[in-house]
Amino acid sequence: MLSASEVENLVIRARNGENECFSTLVRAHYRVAYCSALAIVRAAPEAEDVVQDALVSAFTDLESCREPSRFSGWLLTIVRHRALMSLRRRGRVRRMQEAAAAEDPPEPAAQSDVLLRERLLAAAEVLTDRQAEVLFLHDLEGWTHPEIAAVLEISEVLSRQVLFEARKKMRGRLSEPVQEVSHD
Amino acid sequence: MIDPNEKLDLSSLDPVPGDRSLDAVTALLAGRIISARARKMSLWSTLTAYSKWAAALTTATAAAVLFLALSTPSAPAVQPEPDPDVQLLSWADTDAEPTVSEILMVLGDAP
Repeated sequence: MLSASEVENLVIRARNGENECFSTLVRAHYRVAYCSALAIVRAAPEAEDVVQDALVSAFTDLESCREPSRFSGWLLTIVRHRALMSLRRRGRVRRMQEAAAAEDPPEPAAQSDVLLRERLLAAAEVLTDRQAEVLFLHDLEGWTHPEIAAVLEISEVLSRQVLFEARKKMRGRLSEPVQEVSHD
Repeated sequence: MIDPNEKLDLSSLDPVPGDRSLDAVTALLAGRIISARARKMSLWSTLTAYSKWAAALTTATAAAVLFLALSTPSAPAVQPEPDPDVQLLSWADTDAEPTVSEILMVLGDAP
């Protein structure tokens, strides 16, 4: 992970037209942004789309980041906003699909293997967005509590508490037997 | 007993497992970002260029209007018409006889 001063320096250089800085910044923030998006949308492909759009949008308008030293927090705010927009859009699409399905019910879907990813995401449904974000940042991205606290603007103590609760909930859900879908 | 401080294995959620995947995504996104910024800069420079031309045109027009206004000779100042009562009193006070046209002008019947 880059330090705050390194990020600030890269942001300033990128603004001044040094294109190679974008690669370094994208590389340093891609997984983090993904963790934030996934904590909200809870679907991997959708989270990837959100992150890519958010990164392109944020870096294209990099001049609007008033404090380059707080770039990471600024970027994650944009990612979260985009994720929420995507969630709302998905809600609208789902309502439209449900309305269409009510008129013309589809054939029952074939039972597919439960992938580990899907199982984890299903288990993460019990978490709040904040719990999921802290859990993903810590256990997936490998961030420390001081780093999480700085970017999410919470205390380190709260970060530890949130992580503890999130793990407890996740373990509880993962220890439950996988529900089989019956097709009678 | 599971240690509550033990990390959960979430590696299957990693969107870019391994350096190669991350490199590929980074290269793709950096390319999109650089193109988008180039388009934005191009649009901005076009707008800036147009605004410079517009400013120059406005300045030139203002200068021309000012020049014309200063170079055109001003119309002679219109003398205010004398008050008829004052004029009549001045004729009465002096020996000067007014002409017919002066009398008609003062009385408001000038041709």
